[in-house]
Amino acid sequence: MSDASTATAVSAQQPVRAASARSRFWMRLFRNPLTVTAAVWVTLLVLAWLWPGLLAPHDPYAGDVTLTRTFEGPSWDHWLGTDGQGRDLYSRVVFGARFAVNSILIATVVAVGLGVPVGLFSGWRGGRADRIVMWINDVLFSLPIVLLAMAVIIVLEPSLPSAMLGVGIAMATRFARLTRALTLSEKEELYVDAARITGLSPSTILRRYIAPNLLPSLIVQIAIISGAVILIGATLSFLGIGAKLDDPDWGVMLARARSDFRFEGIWQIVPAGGALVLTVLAFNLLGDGIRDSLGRDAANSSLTVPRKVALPPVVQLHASSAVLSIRDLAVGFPAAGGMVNRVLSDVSLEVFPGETLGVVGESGSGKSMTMLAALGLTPAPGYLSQGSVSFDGREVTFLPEQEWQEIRGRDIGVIFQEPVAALNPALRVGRQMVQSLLVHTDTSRSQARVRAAELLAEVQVPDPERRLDQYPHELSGGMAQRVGIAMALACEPKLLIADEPTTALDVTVQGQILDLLAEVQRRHEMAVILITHDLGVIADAADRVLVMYAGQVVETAPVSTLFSQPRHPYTRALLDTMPQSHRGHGDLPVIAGVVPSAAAWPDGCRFAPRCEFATDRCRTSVPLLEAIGTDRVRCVRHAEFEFGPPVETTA
Amino acid sequence: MARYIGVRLLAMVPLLFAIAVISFAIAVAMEARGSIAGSVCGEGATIECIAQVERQLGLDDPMPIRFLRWIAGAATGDLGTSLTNESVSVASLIADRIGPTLSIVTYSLVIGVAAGMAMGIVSGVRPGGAADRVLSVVSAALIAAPGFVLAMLLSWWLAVQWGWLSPAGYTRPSESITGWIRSITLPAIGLALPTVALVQRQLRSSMTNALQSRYVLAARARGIRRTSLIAEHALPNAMIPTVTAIGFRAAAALGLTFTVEVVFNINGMGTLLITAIQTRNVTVLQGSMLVVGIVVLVVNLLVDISYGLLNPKVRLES
Amino acid sequence: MTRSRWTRAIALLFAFGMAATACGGDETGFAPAIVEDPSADAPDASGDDAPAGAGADLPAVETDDDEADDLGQMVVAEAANCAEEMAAPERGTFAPSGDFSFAISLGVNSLNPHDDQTPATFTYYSWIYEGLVRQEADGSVVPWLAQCWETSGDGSEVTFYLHEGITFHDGAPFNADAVVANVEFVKTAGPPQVIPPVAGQLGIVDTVEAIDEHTVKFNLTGPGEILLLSGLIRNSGLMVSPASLGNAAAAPVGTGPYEWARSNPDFTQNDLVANAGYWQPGLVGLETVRLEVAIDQVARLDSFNAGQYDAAVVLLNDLDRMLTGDITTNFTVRIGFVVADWTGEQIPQLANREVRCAMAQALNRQGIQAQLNDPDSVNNQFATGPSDYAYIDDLDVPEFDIEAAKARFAATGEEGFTFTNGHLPSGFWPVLSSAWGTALAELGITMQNEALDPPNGGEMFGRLARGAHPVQIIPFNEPNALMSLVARTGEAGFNPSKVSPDGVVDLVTAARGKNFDAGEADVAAAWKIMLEECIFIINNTLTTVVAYQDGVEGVHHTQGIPIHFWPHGVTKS
Repeated sequence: MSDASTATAVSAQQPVRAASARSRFWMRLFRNPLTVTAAVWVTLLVLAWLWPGLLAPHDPYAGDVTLTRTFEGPSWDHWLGTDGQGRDLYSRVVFGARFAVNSILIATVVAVGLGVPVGLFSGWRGGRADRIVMWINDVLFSLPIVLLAMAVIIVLEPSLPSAMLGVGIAMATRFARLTRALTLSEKEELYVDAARITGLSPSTILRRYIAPNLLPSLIVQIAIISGAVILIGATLSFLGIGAKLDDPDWGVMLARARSDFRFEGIWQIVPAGGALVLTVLAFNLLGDGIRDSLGRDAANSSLTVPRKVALPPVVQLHASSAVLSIRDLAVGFPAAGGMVNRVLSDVSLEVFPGETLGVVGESGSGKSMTMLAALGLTPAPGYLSQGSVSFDGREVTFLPEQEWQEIRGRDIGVIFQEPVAALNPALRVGRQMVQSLLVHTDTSRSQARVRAAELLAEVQVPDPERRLDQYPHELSGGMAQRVGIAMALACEPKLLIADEPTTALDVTVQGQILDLLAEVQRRHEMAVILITHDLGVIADAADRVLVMYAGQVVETAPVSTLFSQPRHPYTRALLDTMPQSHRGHGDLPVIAGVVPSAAAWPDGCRFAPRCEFATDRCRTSVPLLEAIGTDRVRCVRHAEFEFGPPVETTA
Repeated sequence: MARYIGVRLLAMVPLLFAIAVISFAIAVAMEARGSIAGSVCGEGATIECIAQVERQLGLDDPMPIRFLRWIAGAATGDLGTSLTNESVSVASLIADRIGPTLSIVTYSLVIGVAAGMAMGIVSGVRPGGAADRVLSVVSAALIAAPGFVLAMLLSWWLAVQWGWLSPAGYTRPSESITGWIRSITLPAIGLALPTVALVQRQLRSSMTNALQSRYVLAARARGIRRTSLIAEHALPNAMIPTVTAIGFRAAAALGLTFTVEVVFNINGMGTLLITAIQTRNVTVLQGSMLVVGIVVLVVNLLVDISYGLLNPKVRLES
Repeated sequence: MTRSRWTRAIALLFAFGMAATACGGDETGFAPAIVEDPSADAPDASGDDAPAGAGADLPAVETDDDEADDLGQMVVAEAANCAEEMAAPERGTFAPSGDFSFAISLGVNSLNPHDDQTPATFTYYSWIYEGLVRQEADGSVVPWLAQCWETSGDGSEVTFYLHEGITFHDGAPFNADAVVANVEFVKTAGPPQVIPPVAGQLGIVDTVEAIDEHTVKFNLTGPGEILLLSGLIRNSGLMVSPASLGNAAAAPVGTGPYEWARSNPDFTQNDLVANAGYWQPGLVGLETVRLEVAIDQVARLDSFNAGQYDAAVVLLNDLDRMLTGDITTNFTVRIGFVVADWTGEQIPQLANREVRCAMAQALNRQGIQAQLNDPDSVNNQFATGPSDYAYIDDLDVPEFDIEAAKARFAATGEEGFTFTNGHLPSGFWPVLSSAWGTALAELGITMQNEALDPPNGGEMFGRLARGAHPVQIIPFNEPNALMSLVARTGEAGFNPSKVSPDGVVDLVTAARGKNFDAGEADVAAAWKIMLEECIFIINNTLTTVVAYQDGVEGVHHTQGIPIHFWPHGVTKS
């Protein structure tokens, strides 16, 4: 690919990205009524700034010459009443917008004008220049804004513009940080890299590629600081070092109202105080709204609240000797436009004492979600929309959290994937283990600690006493996994759910761990659900296998049957990916494509788009889970297939 | 940990220097704007008077020498004497004024962090719930409402109308402990309200994140009780970013004390700074800027230390 | 002697506090007793043989005959008997008891009275220090640390005879040398402790010399006893122990009823204790005194309301609201204030056109008018725009003829009085005061300066004008208020074209309280007359008001002005 074509590709790619993002942005922005209200208020503020005379019926400076209409409440003549000189408070509030918006303009222009170039320079140059600039920036950043504003007031003169200059300088440090961070990340983007290779000058790149991507973040930041700027300006004016004594500035008006309201009623505070609070609130909400609409950090928003979805009551009793029995389980997640994404549907499984059920499938096929749902741990805002779960013969689908707490950890042990992430980084290993033991057993703290050390020794953790005093980040992945296993086995549970228990470990350790699990299982007649995408592990350890794809069970069979005679094309494709099946020859076969996300599942067979055997029938009819003896398969064409065991392929 | 603190302390040295330079530069800039000597001698000052004052204050020396002399003095606790009364040392002025300011700021942080944490936990445990929605509206209002307005309303009801607290003035703890608490409660509340809101927002967000984390899920899967999940698992982790936010707020509160000090007639660092600006009292100004800067640095250090205490990675790796 | 001459003689007497003639048995005539002092009527140790003697002997008749009409000469003729010794006055029977706290609105740089000359800060110093003379509540000047004084024939030498046996708090004797040291300090002490204008209060003093241990003579630069006395009743006239003079690090040491105990480094909180060895023991009514600076007016008022202070300086408009509004007060306000209003109602003297125009002329002479009109001037703290002082811009009275004015002034039948001027921005007022003082002195008028907390503009005027308060106030920087008054005048039938300038005052007075919308032409015409009549210059005033909690007794300064503030006899039950 030539340099020129790269450059073309770069410039072509970007506007497309921006355009679709833009329309989505506006849609999101105007969906939130609070943001719209805030935007309307800010628009009014700007109008009042541009043409205050249009909005205000009276001269904000001229009072009642006869001084008879002072300290009035709202009336037809004076919508917000009058002050001590008979001046119309509504008009003064409207004209006050001038001071507010001017403050924002000065502070923003200074902050952006200073901060953005510094941040761009620092982020672009990197290295020592970056360190020095950012160090100075951080020094200024650590000083209180108001102090910097006062410093500028000292150097210049006490007035609102000079105070705002100081606020702008203080705020510039924020913009410098933000710009630098964004520049650093944008710099690594492919299109910027490509542009750099084509020999565009840094200033051109900054202007053409980086600056447009900075803009949304800058707008959010400006909206957020605007509120703070107005507050600081009003505070300084209130103290007499901002706007002049007679100006219709909100801070000045509040300073007057401070003594007036004691005698003339609380109303004196309302117009200026209300305007100030509402304006700051409007800018904050607008900032939040824009940020949320840009799709960043929505959880942080103060007033946007996810819709709550009620659980449909679906209860079904079933009796069986299974330790865990799941019937027709479905889990939904609320999605845009009041829709629901069902990330799991019609999932059924059973696992019996002493048995190991292997659950396989690619990432995103719903294996972990099934287990969480079974444990009553469906992550919010997801919810059980259908089905039932029974544990040890007991209906637990809608078990209260308190009763669940009794079962989890005692009767059911769980080993999580990513073992380090499953341990609390702020707590010592020992404390986490002791805590679990104390919850479920009647022991003292010191006994629990002794037991914890024993448990660690059982999973072959060397020097267990020392490990108890370590923090999770001090452990290797293998160590952390052993700790996780030790905790899961602590109360000798009836059921162990092991989610990728061996991925973090090397092969020899894997074997040891699996042996260990098998040993425990034998001793306690423990049922094990082994979730993995490593079919080798399944082959070694599982009795029965359940294959999942896109939130559905696609096949279940005893392990031997499954490996020798897979019925579903997906199972077959999975088996083909097994390293053993093509030892040392050519590329590792992978299933083309990825598991689609829940919102994009096709109507017919969910595997159809990736299935090499798919026909039109697969794309239109929904396959059901058909029983073949005790086995199950979900494929409309399964009868047509006769897959053998995975073949040794040669390149 | 000791090494961690040591590293932080060392990092403070250049910061300290930078703050000294800034304080000095501001004073020099103020001097450039209007002659200090002129302000001492008054209007219609004679040339002799100005020359004498400049000699006395050493204003005729080159700038680096003046800076070094000042910083050398500052290192030994000598910040010079007030321009308006040369028998009063700047250090003694600051020593007299810093007590009220630190009392108010500390007290306000205690109130603000306690209330903000309570609100943040309630919000963060069930984001989107009724309590969260109410608290989020409250904290949005608290962020939007200027502290001085809240302070003046509080003082009207709590002090003037109901007489629960003292409406203004500062009582030293050495004179009366209850009087001291009564006198700093209102200003501290005025200063604390935005802190409450900021802590609430930060903690709500980091609490929500922590509760969604894998280790909390894992703990739930072990049957750990809800209260323990919140207090022992989520909170310590959620506090890490919150402590940083509290640190910023502490620095901001130091900068904002002058509003409550003026409104509540408390002679603290803030009013000292304002008076120094108004009377162009350069020695007092640069001295108090330096001290406020140092306090901010110490606050940052404390934040770093508590960050380390909360975050074992930081504590053990340094 | 006609009745009118008597009247004039008494007026003179009060106006100038001409106690110079009052040594010997005449003291009570010239030094009215402390108004609320229970023992005020107790006879002096020296007897009370001729209480009215001085008045009777006043050479008003002679003065009247003397066409030169020099006040200094007038005084000298009666000052000859001063040398007769008197015992110290014994007044008051209080024993020190109770802790008193006082919230003040202004800060000070030190407790050295020679450091500044702001009248409002006299409140601090008068607890610790005293002067040779002091001003009584009615405005008269009476001897205090001096027993009496006499003035030379040409009015350029004034000799004070001091009380014996008075000591400073540090034990040093108060004597002629101490007086000399103080006056010379004020005259000569350089920066940075003392700013030059301070010397202005004693600017009339050329040299000062100790004649003997208890006699001190002031040689003036010209006839100027009045100016000397008006300086001596202020900060510059307070006597500081020579050991403390110029030694800023030393404790503040005076002769007053209370001794300094401790202060904050910046004197925002000052603790005093009763001076056990005070030369007039019965006047020390408190055990401890705390003077606290509480600058913010709302907070100060709140604290006072909450009982945090026994006394507090309050603003007129707040006071007005406390008295008329719904707010419940748990204290007594004992106030009074001197207000100069150009209607002549409160300060009759200001109804005199010559007085007003002399002051206006002084403004022009000093170029002050131009400064006031310049919104960028450092002296113009209140300027909110160039239009504010438009009315001053229009003023043109350069042709004011002082000789003619003197003649006209004499023809009005008034020969002198004390005039209290109002507030101007603090960096500015010494210049203005001296300009006005000079101008008025030429007419034979003593001026005393008064400070005002930041004026609150038209609203204060408005509520007062509505009858909420019996005083008229026109803040200096509120042209609207002035216009409003003119407008009211119009409704009452004011037709400027038909009214002689002299009638303005009467019309305005008559029209007070009525509202109407005056036509622009009427307003313009009214303005013209006001300018011609120099009405605009009178920035009247008030002033500081002190409110006291119930149970605080004996504060004698019914005028409520800091410069009158004497802590003698303050008690707290």
